[in-house]
Amino acid sequence: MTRGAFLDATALARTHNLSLLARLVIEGSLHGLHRSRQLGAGMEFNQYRSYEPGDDPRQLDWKLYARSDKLFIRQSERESHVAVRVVLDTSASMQQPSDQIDNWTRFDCARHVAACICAISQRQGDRFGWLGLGAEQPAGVPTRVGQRHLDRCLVALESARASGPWPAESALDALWDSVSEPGLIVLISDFYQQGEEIVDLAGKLRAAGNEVLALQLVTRREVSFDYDGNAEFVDRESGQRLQTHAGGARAGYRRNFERAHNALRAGLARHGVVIHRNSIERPLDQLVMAFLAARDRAVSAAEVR
Amino acid sequence: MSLGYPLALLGLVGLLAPLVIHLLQRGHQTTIEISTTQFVPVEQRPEWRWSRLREPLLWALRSMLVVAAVILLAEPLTRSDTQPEDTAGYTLVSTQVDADTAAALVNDTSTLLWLAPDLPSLETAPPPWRPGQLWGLLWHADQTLPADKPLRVIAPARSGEVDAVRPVLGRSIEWMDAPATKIRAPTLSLTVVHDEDRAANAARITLVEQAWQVAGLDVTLQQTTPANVSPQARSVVWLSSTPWSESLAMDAPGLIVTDAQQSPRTGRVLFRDGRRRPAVIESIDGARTVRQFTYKLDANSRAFNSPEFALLLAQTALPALMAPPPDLPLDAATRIAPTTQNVDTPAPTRTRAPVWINIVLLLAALERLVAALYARRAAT
Repeated sequence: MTRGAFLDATALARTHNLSLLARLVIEGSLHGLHRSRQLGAGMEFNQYRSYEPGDDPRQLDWKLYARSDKLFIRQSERESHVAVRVVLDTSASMQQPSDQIDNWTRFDCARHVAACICAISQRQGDRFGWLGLGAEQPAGVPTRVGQRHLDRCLVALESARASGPWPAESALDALWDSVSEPGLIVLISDFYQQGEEIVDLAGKLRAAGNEVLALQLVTRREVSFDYDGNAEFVDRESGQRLQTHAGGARAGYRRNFERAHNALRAGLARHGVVIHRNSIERPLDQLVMAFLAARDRAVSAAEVR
Repeated sequence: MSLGYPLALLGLVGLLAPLVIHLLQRGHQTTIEISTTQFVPVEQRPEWRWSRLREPLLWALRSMLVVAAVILLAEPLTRSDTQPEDTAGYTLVSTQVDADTAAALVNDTSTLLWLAPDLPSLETAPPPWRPGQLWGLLWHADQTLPADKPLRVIAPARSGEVDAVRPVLGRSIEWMDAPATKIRAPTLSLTVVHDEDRAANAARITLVEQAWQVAGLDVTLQQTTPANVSPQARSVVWLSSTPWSESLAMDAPGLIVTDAQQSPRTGRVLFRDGRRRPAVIESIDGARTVRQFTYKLDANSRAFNSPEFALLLAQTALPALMAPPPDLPLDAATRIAPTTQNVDTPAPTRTRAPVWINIVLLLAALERLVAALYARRAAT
């Protein structure tokens, strides 16, 4: 079995093992969010190395010396200045399931991507955390570093649930509290907005000095709208019901969908945010790498400008 | 056009099937949860009104297909009420009517045929020895002769053999009365050979002879012993254990009827008894045909004394000898004579099924073609 096949969304839908998934994805991915991490003094122990002349004696592990009669330097991960935050849309619309993969929803895919990004950040020595934006009290884990913090993030991600509408403006205080320090923000959502609320949010995050990466997750059927016959469509967030003939409405739906996406892309571009759209049915490692590659292209284009 | 099975038209109820499906679908719609309904165009309404009947051409074709299939199942017929102009038809002559008498009655160019199996011509064949069943022969002639030719029947006013139910013929016939000619069968001679000690058999054979004469058969039975039988005797009932080859000339043609006193012979089974066991076996011995009963014809045997034995013996021994047989007595026919001489039969009909099969096939092909076109259009 190839690793790619193992990371196929169908298999992930069965395992739901975020830790295993994150390890597998980042082992196959040479991408990072930014420069590689550095080792040095810090709170989070990483490894020992032999003492060499010139090393700071304060970094010697005297207890180990007492046991082994050898000098070792205690190295910790040097804390990065970059704080990576994954902002996860936890509204009810994220519960949209795939028609091709059983027990695999957009929220499942978003959680897995978030886990991958946390794992990549941990590998780079960044501070990382995630924040869920939904009807309930904002969930998430503040930014920290280290392996144990990654485990905390993954456990919190596994217990996260998506429900209710997109939070009101007043309910976003928790977000602003957590992003008091500028950093890298990965915004994962379906980006279905009633007005411009998500674009505005991205603009405010950008204005606060953050770099914002937007990942739009869609299902195959949301794009193709290949339903047929008379159907009553129920909006997951608002509960609004709409009776129509799906086959007759297909062309209009596709037209509206692309128009809205173009407007979203233009709105985010106004704030300097590049959005990447991908399907939740795509194998997860390909999805993550495509997302990071799109981000690299956007950065390169910005540097050229 | 008429229909052979008008009840099949009940199949037209099948035309309601598309409407019923439509009504059932009208109340049927699936509920689908989606992330947002903002992209679904509100101007598109559900399609369940009659005016929104999709693919009307396909619906019409399928309805026509149902109608055509129902008509095909109802067996379409066309009936011609016009009589053919060609009067040179056929005249069927009962075998109870003399050929010259029949020819004198006919003054047109119709073909004269005996009303007998295979309808032999009056000019080329002698009167068949057995008249057969009148109604059955008439039905046979109606089916065999060309449908557009008129039929005439020359028969005695009182026919000897009629069925209880008149046949339904495909055409009307002209019925002409003619006096019946009594055909007398020649006197037949049957030699019964038995041993001296089987005189009881002789008495039984005498009873059989009397029974035959009562039934109208003019048969004479001559009883003798193996030593005294004429070597040239043609028809012999051999009820002796003595081999007949010692007494009869085997190079002379004839018939020998014998029983189980002789050694069993192999051949084809001519008759079987009520339990389907062989009763009479026919074989060849020299120039003679041998018909051997599989049981002993003894005066004390059950079979020999049964009422059916006379009939079985007659069937075994007589048909080959009687040419022609006697006509049935006319007085027996007076009680069942037909009350009318004109058989009212419906006009000839012709099935139109091949035409409707072609129509059904054509409509089916058209339906497939139009359905494929609609499917292709829907796919694009």
